[in-house]
Amino acid sequence: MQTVQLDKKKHNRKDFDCEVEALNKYLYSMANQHSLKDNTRTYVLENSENPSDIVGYYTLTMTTIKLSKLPLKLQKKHFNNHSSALIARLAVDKKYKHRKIGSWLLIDALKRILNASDIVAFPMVIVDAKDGVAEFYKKFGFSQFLNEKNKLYLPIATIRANFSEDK
Amino acid sequence: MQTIQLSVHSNHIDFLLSMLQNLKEGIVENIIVDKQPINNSTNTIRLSSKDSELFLKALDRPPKICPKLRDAFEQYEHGQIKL
Repeated sequence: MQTVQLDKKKHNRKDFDCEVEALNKYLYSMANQHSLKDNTRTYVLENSENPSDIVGYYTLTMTTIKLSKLPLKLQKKHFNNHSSALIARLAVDKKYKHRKIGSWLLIDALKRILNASDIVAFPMVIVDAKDGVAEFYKKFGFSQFLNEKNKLYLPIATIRANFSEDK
Repeated sequence: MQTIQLSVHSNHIDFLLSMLQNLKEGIVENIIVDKQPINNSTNTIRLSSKDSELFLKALDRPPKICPKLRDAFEQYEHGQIKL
């Protein structure tokens, strides 16, 4: 199995149904436009027997984390703003639910992000856990913010440590 | 008749006004507004002081091994998940 960038000529976006209307609509009407503008990248997992059939997808982009005013000793040590990778969306078509495809897509996304961080360096991955799926990400070590309940974070260093081959 | 969908963002106000004009003139039939912006990719996430502290602590901590993440990675690498 492997993911490829969304190709609107090849992939049947219309029939994708993850049972969350906002995620279906995004894939159908926005993902390609955002990619053309270099705002986001959407990767799809194709059904190898029928590559136009989208099994699942995720969307990656960058976001800025702006911290509250820090005590002086922390200001010396840290920046007030941090760039982070953002997994903005992740969805699996209802035909393929309960096959661990969601966790497979998450690992695929984190691998891409880890490779990107080796080139341009950013310290954190944020996930936008729409529609109450925060528990899914917590299982994989993501932590939830106190005030931003739908945003969870995972340090790049943790991903690197867990994805190391010599464990 | 055409249906146009857009998300509400401060940058879209002029566009929204023009769409409302189109609606008034019958050029479009419906304007559907999502509850959340569709494109939040360029948004800045502004953290409270408590969340800022959590964020910095996470950056300072040594990386930890998360068994579930590690297992999922190994299943991925060994092709154990099939369609």
